[in-house]
Amino acid sequence: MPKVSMMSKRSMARRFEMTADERRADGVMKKSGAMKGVRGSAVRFGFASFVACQVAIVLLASMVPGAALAQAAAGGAAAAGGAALTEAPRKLIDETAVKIVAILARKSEPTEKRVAEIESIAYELFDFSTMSKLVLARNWRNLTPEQRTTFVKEFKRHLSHTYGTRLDRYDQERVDVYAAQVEQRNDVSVKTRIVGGQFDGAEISYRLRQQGEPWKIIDVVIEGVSLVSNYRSQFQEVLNTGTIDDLIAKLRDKNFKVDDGAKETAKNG
Amino acid sequence: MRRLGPILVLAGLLLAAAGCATPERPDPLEKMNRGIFAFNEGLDRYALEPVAKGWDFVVPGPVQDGIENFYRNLNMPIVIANEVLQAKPVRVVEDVARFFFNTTLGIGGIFDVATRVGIPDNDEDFGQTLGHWGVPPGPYLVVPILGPYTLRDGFGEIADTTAGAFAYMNFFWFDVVGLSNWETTGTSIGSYTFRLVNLRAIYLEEIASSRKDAFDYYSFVRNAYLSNRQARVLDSTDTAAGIEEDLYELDEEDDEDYEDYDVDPDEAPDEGGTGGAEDAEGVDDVEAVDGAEVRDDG
Repeated sequence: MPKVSMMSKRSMARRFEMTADERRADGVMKKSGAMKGVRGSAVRFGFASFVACQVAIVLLASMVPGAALAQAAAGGAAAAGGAALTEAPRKLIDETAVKIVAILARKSEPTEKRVAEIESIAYELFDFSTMSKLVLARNWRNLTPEQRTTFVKEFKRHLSHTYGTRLDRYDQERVDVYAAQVEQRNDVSVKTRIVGGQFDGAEISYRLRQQGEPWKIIDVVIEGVSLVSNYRSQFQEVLNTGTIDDLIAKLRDKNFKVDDGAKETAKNG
Repeated sequence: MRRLGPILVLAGLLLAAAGCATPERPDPLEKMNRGIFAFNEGLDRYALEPVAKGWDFVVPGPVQDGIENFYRNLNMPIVIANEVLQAKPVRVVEDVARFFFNTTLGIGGIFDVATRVGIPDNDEDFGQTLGHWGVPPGPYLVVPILGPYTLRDGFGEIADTTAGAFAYMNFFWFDVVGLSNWETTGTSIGSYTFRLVNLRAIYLEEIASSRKDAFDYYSFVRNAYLSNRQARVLDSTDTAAGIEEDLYELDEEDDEDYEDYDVDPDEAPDEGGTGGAEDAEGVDDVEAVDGAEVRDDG
């Protein structure tokens, strides 16, 4: 595939105010086989279509402003309401996203180290107690204090395994924090969008709650799918046929397997 | 038209079941659904996934993306029609532009030029149109081979497919290529299967890890499907959208005072862990240790 010349690329970048991240994401060819998101997948195209694209841009410029204006207006209106309350959590997500992207970008460092760094950020940021309560819903009250502590511990490990390792596969992307709003119970949801990469355009919303001093994340909603709600429905299913101890055993078993798997790949890789 | 007969009968039966579907109980047909789900999973494991793996091995990622882009672009008129039906003029403009540029400059939709220049990628279908005007999703349904639907969205899919058939099959296959009725049907099924295999190849890793991580894969898929559909209908990925109303409510007794159970009394995880890094990093924030307090539980 012919490379787009630097000159025309720069002019295009200026035209649309692309960020460095985006440009890098655009420039790097994806490895085949792994993770090809179709959602708005920006397929690389050759020089001919690039020139054609420039023509398209000119044509488009006459059509798009209407749409862009409408969106900006909607965004502005949403931002105006409850700006004071949403400011802190929004800033928190924004800063964290920048930190995480920076860690992911240091590709020369060993994966394990970077995952560990991201995990330590996540541990500060997530309220695993509240998440566990929400996930178990009615069942939470039947747990002994020991079971509660064990459950939180294992659930936390499970989340950092599944999302920590997945997180590491997402690189060359930027997170655009574009809105925040006050929810019931004075929670705040912060809305973000992934820019560039395989999941360009994917919407991820974080729900934060303030209990004590810092704001902490209590749920992550990816394309409308809530982590808490999803685990709640699965755990309810396990609890329909078994006890809480069965569930904890299942969690522990899964964590154990993942640890094993990680050791295997560490050995092989 | 003959094919519609059994579908209508089935739809009638499902409408009867729809009465029992409430937001609290979205899956009144769970028993049957689980059976079909298991069948679909088997089909995937022994037929679709292996074929998709082979396809993924031979065909580079960007080509797979191009194929899926082509099919998505082919479907754009249906998307636009649904935006018209939902009275969303901004989206109609965006997607007419998208369809125009991707078809011409994107060479029949293979290259997603529109996304590159910042035209949003909207997604609408007739199920969403019905939802937009207030039709409830009805019971969750797992359809053999085709997978998860709700009654509303399954019906929407039939409507979209039929419309697509008139738009493309009859015109293109009959008139341009000159195929007979049977050949047209065969070609369409072949084309659908090809898209499915290609799409499955794109999501090989995601599906494998979701399956592996799930505690109950059926519930995982159902929850993800229903929430995602609801979010699409509302054109919103708000945390409030698409999920239960009381999701973020705590039990009353817990509401009073906040207790942090996120503590590791015995710091080292019992299995030895993934090597020191994670454990060392994770435990240096020891928070208020009130997890051991004894509570009175009913």
